[in-house]
Amino acid sequence: MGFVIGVLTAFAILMIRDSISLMLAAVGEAYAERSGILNLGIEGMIMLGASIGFVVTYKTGNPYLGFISAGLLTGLLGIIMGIFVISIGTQQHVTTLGFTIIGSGLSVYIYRLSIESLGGVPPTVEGFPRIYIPYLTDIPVIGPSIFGQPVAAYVVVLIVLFLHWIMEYTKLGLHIKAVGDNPKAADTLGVNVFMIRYLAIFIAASTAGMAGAWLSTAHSNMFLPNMSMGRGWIAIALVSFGMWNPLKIILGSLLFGGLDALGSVAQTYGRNIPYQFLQSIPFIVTILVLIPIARRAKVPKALLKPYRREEAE
Amino acid sequence: MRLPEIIVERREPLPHYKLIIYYIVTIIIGFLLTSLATIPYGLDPFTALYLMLKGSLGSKYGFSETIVRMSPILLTGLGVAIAFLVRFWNIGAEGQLYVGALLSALIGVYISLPKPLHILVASVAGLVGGALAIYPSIYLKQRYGVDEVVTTLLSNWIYILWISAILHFYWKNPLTHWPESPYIHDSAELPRIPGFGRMHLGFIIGIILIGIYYIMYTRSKYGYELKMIGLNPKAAYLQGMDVDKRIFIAALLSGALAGLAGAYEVMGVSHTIREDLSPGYGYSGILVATLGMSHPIGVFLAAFFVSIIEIGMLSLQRTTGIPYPLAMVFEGSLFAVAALTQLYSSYRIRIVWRD
Repeated sequence: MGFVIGVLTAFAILMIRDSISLMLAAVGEAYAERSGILNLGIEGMIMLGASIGFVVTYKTGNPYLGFISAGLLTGLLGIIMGIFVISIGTQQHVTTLGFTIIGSGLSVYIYRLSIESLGGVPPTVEGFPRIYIPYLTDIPVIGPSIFGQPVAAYVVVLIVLFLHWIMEYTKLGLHIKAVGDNPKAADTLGVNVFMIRYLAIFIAASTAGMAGAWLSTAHSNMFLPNMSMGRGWIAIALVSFGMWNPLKIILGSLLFGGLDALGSVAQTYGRNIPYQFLQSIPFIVTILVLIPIARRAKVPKALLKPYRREEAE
Repeated sequence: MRLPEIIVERREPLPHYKLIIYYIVTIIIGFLLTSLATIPYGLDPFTALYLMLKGSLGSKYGFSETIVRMSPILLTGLGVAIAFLVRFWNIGAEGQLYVGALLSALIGVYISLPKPLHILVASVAGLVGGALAIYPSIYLKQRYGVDEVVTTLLSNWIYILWISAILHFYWKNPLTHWPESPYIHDSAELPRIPGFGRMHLGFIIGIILIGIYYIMYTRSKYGYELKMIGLNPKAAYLQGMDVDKRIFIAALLSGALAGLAGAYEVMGVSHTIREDLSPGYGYSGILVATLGMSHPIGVFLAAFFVSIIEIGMLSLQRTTGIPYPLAMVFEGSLFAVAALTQLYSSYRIRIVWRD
């Protein structure tokens, strides 16, 4: 019985931790896609955020500062990417894929430049403190997973709920969706298409950066090259899976996070379970989900299309 | 406050020579920007460039390693180029490469045949593997209209995870107990080119395939039709072309060539399939196809260029301690350079300052 509780607790903790990084990155990605930009740079931006978050936390001892720096600096990279895909209008998938490669290269470069190597053992940071609420945290399984996570987890949940509110209930959200569906019409109505897209790409990049910082200062307390391990691609999958709706994406990330956690738990406790098959399920499910919605009008219509005033239809 | 605004306007396409000049200039700017990162290591950009070239081309060893690196990139680049020609955005070359490698490794390990035949069958297995790997994405695109960027991208991870599972749980090497397949038979190994280290026949075959692509691209009706489909699918359709069928074949071929790249990595270099068989040859292929604008000569030169950078940076890391990932930063910036230059060929880009 103790063993079962142990496995369940490990699973629940990991599920929440995995979902936290996924929901943050994916809700941000939804902003980019909703405004008409497919951001394939997300995987690299997560790695960059992980590196910046770790380095800043390591140097200052303050994980909050690491979290914020990761968001801002990665957001800056998003703005640079925006110059290409928004203002100039280069091909989005090629350009943004390039930024994934830039981000992953830069992440290792920054890390190695800032942190002395200690003979192969990666240094760790203290990271975010975990909360403890008397009684609640002591409940088996649910307690440590829901009421005992690092502080940043609750900040992230607030951020994604806030982003959901903006997208679905405010004028700004309406503008973002308008820009992604029909930029010409939005422009005619006086919406600044370029500004809105820059804002969306900044949000997408900085949430990816913060998701990375979560990985290196809360999920685990060290930085490893390629530590996002496909989470960026899962986030892209999640956006389609959740049909570009932040709340559905948040719920979907719990599901995908659960699958990922199942994989990790299988890896730890069951030596002979090929956990990689579990890990591939989110990708397969997403592709299957895309089939019925592909021909429906759910996909932002201006996705992948640069906006140029002179030639707008 | 005065703010810059970028104005992009359509214009007559630039002549080729001008485009090439712009290309080279933007690549140099990208290099200079990236090379600023060598300064904290006490190395100025020009010394860094010199050391990179010395490491990748300056010795027989360096040169042969550059060619070894170039062999798979040439094939994935060629494959992606063909798909991009008809605007099928295949981002999945990495996964296709692994599936091709897996099938050719199966043939290499479990079947015994005389040498030339074994190589042939294992190569075909690689082609088939790559084609099988891309097939679902083509089917979903043409049958249901599912965007191929997302499906090919996600399929990379599906295939890589499955192969990882196979190597960890079902097909470990009994000699090394590593997650790698047993070694393939000698008869399935690609012959090496004498006197050039690890350089193998795969490179020569890559050159031949580029040559065939060149003829198709410049002289054949088929190549003309593919280009036409890429430029204006509606017009191609109105001229009576079976557009979907041609896109289908081009995309299938694209996957097959990526699969062949994987097969040759197994048959020519590692003689087993590992999880880290490819350091991103599929993604480099996308870069090479874009940089080379799907043109055969462009693809060849871009593949050579990218290989020089990678081998040069590996050598720079060994001699000066500058981290290799800097090569990735440069390569990533080349994606933007390539996309920018392609746009520049038919658009004018101006920056104006407005109040």
